[in-house]
Amino acid sequence: MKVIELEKKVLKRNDEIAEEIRELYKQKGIFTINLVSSPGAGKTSILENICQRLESKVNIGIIVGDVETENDAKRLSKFNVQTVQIITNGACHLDAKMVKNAMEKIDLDKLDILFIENVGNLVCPTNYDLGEEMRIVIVSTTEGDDKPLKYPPMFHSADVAVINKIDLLPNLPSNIDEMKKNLLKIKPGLKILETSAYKGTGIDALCDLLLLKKK
Amino acid sequence: MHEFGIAQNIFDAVSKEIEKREVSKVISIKLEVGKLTAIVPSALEFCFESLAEGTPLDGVKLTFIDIPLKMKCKKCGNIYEVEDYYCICTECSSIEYELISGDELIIKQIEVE
Repeated sequence: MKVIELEKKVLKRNDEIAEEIRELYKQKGIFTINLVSSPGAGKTSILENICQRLESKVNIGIIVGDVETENDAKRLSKFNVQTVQIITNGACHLDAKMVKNAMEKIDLDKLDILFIENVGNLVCPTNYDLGEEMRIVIVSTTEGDDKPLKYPPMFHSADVAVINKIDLLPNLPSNIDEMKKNLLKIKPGLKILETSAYKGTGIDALCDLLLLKKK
Repeated sequence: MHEFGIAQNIFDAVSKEIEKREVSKVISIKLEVGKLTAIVPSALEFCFESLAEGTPLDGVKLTFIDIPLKMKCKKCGNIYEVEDYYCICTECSSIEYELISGDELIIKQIEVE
């Protein structure tokens, strides 16, 4: 019996493609955001709000990942943005290869900000670098204040956290300060924003942040 | 169930290695798994078993080395292990850190006959 040292990264190929994509975005001056959350936290609704406010100011592209249906891409196609739907056929996350393939359907020369809406899942997308510059995790007020403590790797990997559905707070036993405390426990210094995609609250601040980071 | 994709990557990488090195039998694959990787070993084992059935890697055992989450404080240089993911320097309480270990997902070695 003998031992062979391999020292091989399991996700080496994904990381290589992600790096390739990152380099390309950089050359083209495209700011990319990987949007992650559990299913139903409001990724698409927040994107609708962002599109409404920014479609006339910057060129937006959106790659939407779902296990099935093109419903999300359809919702977003009413705006002046480029959308591509990735149907993962069961896969619970997007990987860099899927994003690279989807990018072929986008005119990168007419693009300032690219959103990648990941599959709704707080576990599986964690390890998959998509070449993004910013990872935004969305968590809604109905999910429980301790959500960040339940899924630490994902919250730890985020650059920004958006607490959505704040309009429901008066009707919920949730404590938003507790959720913020938990977010900061997992990722000290994490930028936290509060929104209601339904009422359009807090979206301006989110847009300002994106435009600021884009520069 | 992202473990399936991970298992596929491990399967492909090891299959390629044994072909290249003309290895006849693999006994085990040792993996380094960082605390930040969100991998469930039992799920990964299950996926790998299913994939390996009827192939030269059938019956190969996966072994796991847990890699702790370690940070280096950017303020005072202290290197500390993070329990429960709460990243605060144990010396100066600063929250500015750089990752030393914890995001590994590595095929460390294979044991062969």
